[in-house]
Amino acid sequence: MHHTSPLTVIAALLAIISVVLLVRFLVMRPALDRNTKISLLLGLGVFPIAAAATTNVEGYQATQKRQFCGSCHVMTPIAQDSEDAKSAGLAARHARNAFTGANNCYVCHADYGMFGTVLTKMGGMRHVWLYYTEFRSMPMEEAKEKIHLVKPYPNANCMQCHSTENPGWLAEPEHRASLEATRSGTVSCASPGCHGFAHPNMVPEKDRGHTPAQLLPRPRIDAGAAQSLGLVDGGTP
Amino acid sequence: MKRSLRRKLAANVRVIAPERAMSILRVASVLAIVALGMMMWSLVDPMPAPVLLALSFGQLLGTISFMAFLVIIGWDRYRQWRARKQRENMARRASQPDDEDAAEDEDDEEAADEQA
Repeated sequence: MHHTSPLTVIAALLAIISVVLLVRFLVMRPALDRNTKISLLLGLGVFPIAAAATTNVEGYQATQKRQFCGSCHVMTPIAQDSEDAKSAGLAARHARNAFTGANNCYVCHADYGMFGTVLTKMGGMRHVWLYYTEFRSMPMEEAKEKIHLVKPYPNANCMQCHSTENPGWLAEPEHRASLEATRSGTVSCASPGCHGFAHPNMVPEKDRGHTPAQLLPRPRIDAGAAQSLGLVDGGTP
Repeated sequence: MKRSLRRKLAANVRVIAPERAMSILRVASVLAIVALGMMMWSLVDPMPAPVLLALSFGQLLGTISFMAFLVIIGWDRYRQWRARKQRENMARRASQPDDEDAAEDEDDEEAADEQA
């Protein structure tokens, strides 16, 4: 099992009990008396509903994992970059943070606000639909050119954690200079001139060619430095 | 309960034969087992296809099976209630053979409708 949380065990137990009750009903073919009705109420109603509820929670949590997002081949390089201990990409740096960690795709790409979760899940369903209808058999190089964000990545998502209010943040001259533009979203935090591309290995070659050298993604940490920092397994430094 | 509604209910109750009710319950059981299988698959392999199948198709099959169970149990309860009511009417008629007015009550009319 990939994930054996207590909820998984509970859901599995409930499902197994239901199946046993239902198989017993199918094999024994009892009359529709009081005992059979109670048995079916448990096997078709109580236990499956409880199993479905726990499976829903587990499923919802599973959809937040990077492993889930990266299981579609067009997203695999992005997930691999996040797991690369030597990568200096924005996503990879966030993946080393305990708060975002294995859920870094969801934490950064989730819409926030009252209906944020629902909107995010709807967006995720759209991704699944597009994958199965358009990108499933598309070569990676072609996908790199075609896959793009529906709308510019909002700084508001960054500002859920990085409030732009802390003195340390404001002490950076570049932050101070672009404060209003950052807060209004006219300058993206993830632009090449600021914190670099979030997923550097997904930047198409044509965009790299037109980007001045100093604005390209920050260089990877060299292997020796990564080794000395204990960043060889993709874990938190 | 209005007489027309009772008539409709009685007509629907007659549609489901006891053997058919058991068949429906067996199909519901199989559907529930399939739905539970999908849920288990999504727990063991939490990837897009199994998770989405469990959260959509699995939920749908599970809901259908439970609704089928509720319908059959409701039908069975109503069938038992009607049988008891008819027995009571027959007993009342037997104890009051001369009271012709009582024969015109709603339940007797309903029985006559059903026979028609």
